[in-house]
Parts: sequence; structure tokens; C-alpha cells
Amino acid sequence: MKKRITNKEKITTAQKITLWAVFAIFFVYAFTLVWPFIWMFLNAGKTQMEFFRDKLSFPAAYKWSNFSDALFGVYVTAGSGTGAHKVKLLEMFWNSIYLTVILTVLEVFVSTCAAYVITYYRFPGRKLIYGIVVFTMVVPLVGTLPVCYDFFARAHLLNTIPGMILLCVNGLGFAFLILYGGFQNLSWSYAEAASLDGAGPFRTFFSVMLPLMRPAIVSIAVVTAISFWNDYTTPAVYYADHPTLAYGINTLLNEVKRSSSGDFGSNYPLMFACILVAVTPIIIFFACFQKTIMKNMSVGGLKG
Amino acid sequence: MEANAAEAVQPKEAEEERQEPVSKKKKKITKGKVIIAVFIVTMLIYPLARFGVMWGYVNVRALYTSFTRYDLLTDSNVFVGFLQYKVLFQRLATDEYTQHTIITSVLYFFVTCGISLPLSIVFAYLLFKNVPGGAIYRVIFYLPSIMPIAVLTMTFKYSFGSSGFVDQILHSMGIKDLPLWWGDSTITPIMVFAYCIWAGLGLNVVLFSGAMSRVPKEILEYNRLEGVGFGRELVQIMLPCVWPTFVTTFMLGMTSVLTVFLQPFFLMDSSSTTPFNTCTISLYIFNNYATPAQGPYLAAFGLFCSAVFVPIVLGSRWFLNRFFKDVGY
Repeated sequence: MKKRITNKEKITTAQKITLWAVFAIFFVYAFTLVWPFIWMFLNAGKTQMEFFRDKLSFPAAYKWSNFSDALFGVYVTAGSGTGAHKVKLLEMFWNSIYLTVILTVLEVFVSTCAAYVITYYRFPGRKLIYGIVVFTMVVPLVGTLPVCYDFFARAHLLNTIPGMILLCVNGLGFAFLILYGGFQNLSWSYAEAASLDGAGPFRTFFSVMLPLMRPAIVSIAVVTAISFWNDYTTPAVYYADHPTLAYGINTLLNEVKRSSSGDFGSNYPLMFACILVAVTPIIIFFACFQKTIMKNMSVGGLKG
Repeated sequence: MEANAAEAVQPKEAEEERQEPVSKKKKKITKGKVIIAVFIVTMLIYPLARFGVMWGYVNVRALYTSFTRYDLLTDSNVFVGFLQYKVLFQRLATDEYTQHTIITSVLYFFVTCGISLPLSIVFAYLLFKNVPGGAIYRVIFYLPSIMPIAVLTMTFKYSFGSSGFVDQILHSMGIKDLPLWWGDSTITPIMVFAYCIWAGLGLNVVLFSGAMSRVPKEILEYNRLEGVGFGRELVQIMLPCVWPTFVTTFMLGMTSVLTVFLQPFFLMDSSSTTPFNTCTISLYIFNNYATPAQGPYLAAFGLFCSAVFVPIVLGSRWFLNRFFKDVGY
């Protein structure tokens, strides 16, 4: 017995040392993730010459005007021919916001409807639909981009909201799978009680089952909103005339780099200010919904 | 009225519980079925129609397009049989650029599943073992997953090179001959892979640590009493317990062969124009999608890669799912 306790203490000490060593490794990794942004913040307040001289020092006087220049001063040219127009960072914000809101609301709503019906109602093809969802998620088919682009161009759906809805609002994607799992854990007895009180299927869904799923819906809405906000490819290909932040920031940085190139290199402080301005909304959003997001990732899991 | 409404909702067990005369039941069920059918159709019409257009139509048309060539005069595609596939096989056999594109894409599988995935499992396990500051680390590790990829890649890119802090730090440490991070045929592809590990580690760590947190405490307590060490517990207990999460993450890692393109696209400023090849299958398609003349070849290229790779993915899934069937946390 005595030997066992000693052994246990020995292991615990060894494990404690291991954990502190791991703490140090994690600290280094976490530092590499956070430090570039701190470094950019320090340098975003410098003049071009200050940055050229020393990239690791503090600015003599923090130049906040770089941030206002990032928002209102620099722009990219979107569209072509007579439709060409200047787009500033602030406008990209607006494009991102309304697109994210529209697409998130629709995607979550359509996915909820589909998940509800497939979870609770038995009809021919129900299992097939679920199988299709899993299959299309696991199996990526590439090579369809030129065809899809051509189809959208011929249907005059490029650079339109209906086009973006058709592309992004899936209803049978990731949100569907998560909500399907959520509905499976929700007892059907609530709907039964509602139907006994005279509610039809629509009323049962909207007035009873939907409110009960609110935590899961909010959770999936947050994750969906982040993915739409960060989506690069879809706006770049199909909505290029109205650049969103995720798409436009790359073009904007390249534009600033090209246009400001001089004796002291490109205007990196301004570019860093652009990057910081661009990530601020998503950082604030993450800070607000951090618990929801982390809980969603931890509790829901990912199984296949 | 109430009875009719009750009939309208009749999935699963609700349907079985009704105790009514047969003739009356038949009539009511028919009425209820109509209401339910309308409800089901209303709820599913958009996702199914969208699937039909965006998956069914687009894929069928892509398949057809792969057997055509673009005719500039008529602005349409003309059927040419297997011509695009012949061109593709010729390029696969002789064209170095195409060969490199395939090899680079496959390398992403090894980076994702061979380096990033095992590393994230170890990190997740250690986070799960209550490393000091674990809650904060979990949030920080997740940060790259919420950033726009353009911002994250640019941040990584600007950290290296003449404008970055890495070079200045290395210079101050006396290291003079620094590599050309973004312009060297040896170091640059490694930098792109390093970025993928750096940025991609966090999401898997959070997913695995979440899965591990669902493993019953009794199992871990038993291990502790038996004096099982960290390594053995991870390999023999935790990994089997989180096997379904491992399989899914592995599958997603495998599909990166066909889907990854934004990392090299941003880091290499569209790598197809650089003297060394960091191009991937998807990047090649992305760089040429708007050129109508390229459409048929790209369709053939993409569909051929999918046809080769998809059975491998599904086969791997089947194989991996044969292990540890009775667990799933």
C-alpha cells in the first residue's frame, strides 16, 4: 500500500513536470498566433520611415491617422467598363454585413425546416436525403467551377443577391447536420401536446418546436455567420463587383503595396492598419459569442 | 376541429397511438396526410430544388462539358468525345507542371493527416489533462479559425521577409544568410505547409479536446489508479474513445488534396506564375475558371481527379470505421 502511494506521488510529480513543459510549448504556439497582430498594431502607428528603420521598436508618436486612412482613404476598383467603381474598406464592411445577415438568416431557417421534417416525419426518400447530405459533405467533386460560373453568367446571376442566395443558402449542409442532431434530442411530446391543443404542423413547428431549439439555432447561426463573413471564394468569383471584406482586403493590400512603393518600401504601417481594421469586427463578434462557439465545438463534436 | 388538427401531426409514435374506428380513421388520415404532405413539401422544396440545380445539374453539365471543346465563333461547346481526357493523360505523362500539381496536392494529405492531425491529438490530450491556462489556450488556438484566410495568410507572410519581424530578430541574433522565404524553390513550399500546420492546428485541437471531454470520468479514474501513463492512456484509451472524431477529421484531411488552394494562392500571389510549383488541383482550376476555352479541360481534369480520389476517400472511411466500432464520444 505504502509502495503504491509513493509510486502514485512519483507519477504525479512527473506528470506535473510534463504538464508545465507542455504549458511552455503551448505558450510558444499561442504566442506565435497572437504576436503577429500585436506587432502589426505597434507598427500600424508608425510612419513609413520609422517602420523602415526598425520593425520592432515602439512608434515615437502613435499615428492613429493610419486607421482613418485605412477606412476612408484607400480603395480598390471593382467592376469593369462603365460599371467600374471605387470601393473603400467601409463599403466592404457594409457589403459583408448585409450579405452575412441575409445569408445566415436564410441558411439557418432553411436548414432548420429541412432538419425538422427529416427528423420527425416519415416519408419516401427521407433516408435518401440524409444520405445525400452526408455524401456531398464527404465527397468533394472538383472541376465544376468553370461550368457553374458559366451557368451563373448566362443566367445573369453574377453580382446579384439571388445568385449569392442560390450559391450559399444550402439547407442540406453543415447547419442541417447539427440541427438534425439537435432535433433528435428534442422530445416529440411537445409537438403532440401542441397538436392536441389544435395546432397544425406549421404552427407546431413555428410556435412550439422552433423556440425550444433556440439555443442550438443561435449556436449554429453564430458559426454560420462567421463562415459567411470569412468566405473568400464565393464573393471573389460570383460577387466581385461588390467586394466583401474577406475578398476585398487582399486586393486592397496588393493595391496599397503597389501604389505606395517608394524609397522606404511599401506603406506597411497603412497595410497593417487595414488588416487590423478588417479583423476587428470578427474579433469583437468572437469575444461576444466565444462561449457559444466553444461550447458548440466541444459539445457537438464531429463524427462520421 | 381539435381532432383534425391532432391528425395533422402524425409522425412516428403519435400515429400508432390513436384508437379510433377504422372507417373514420381512414378518412381522417387521408385529410391529415394531405396537410402533412403540403407541410413536408413546403419545408423541403427549396433545399431539394437547390440541390437539383447546384449539384445535379452542375455536375451533369460538367461531365458533358468534359467531352466538348469551346468554339469561339459560336460561343458554345462542341462535342469532341474523349479529346480532353487524351490531353489530360498526355499532360499527366509528360507535362512537369501538371505532375507537380498532383504531387503538391497529395503532399497536403501527408501534411494534414501525417503531421497536423497527430500533433493536434497530442495537443488536445494535453489540454484535456488540465495544462495550466488550458481554457485560455483553447480560445487562442481557435482564433485562426475565425479569421478571414486572406488576413491570416498575409499576417503570416508579412512576418517573414524584409518587411517582417522574423528577419530582424534573426539578423540581431547574428544570422546573416537568411533564406528567401517567399522566393525559393526549396523553402517556399515548406513555408506554405508550415502555414497550413500553424493555422490549422487549433481547430482540430478544440474538436478533439471536446470529444475527449465526453469520455466517461470512470475510465480515466480507473487508468489513474492503475498507474497508466500519459502516452499509454492517449494511445490505448483516448484515441479509441474519440475514434469517430478521428475518422471524420482524417476524411476532411484527405479531401484537402482536392480542395486546398487558398493557402498557396495567397502566400504565392497565385503560384501558377512563379518559377517553382506550389500549385494544387483546385488552385489550377481556380486560376483558369473564367476562361471559356479552358472550361472543358478543367472539367475533365477535376472530374478525373475526383473519380480517382473519391473511391480512395470512401475506401479509407470504410477501412477506418472497422476499428473501435463500439465507441463514440
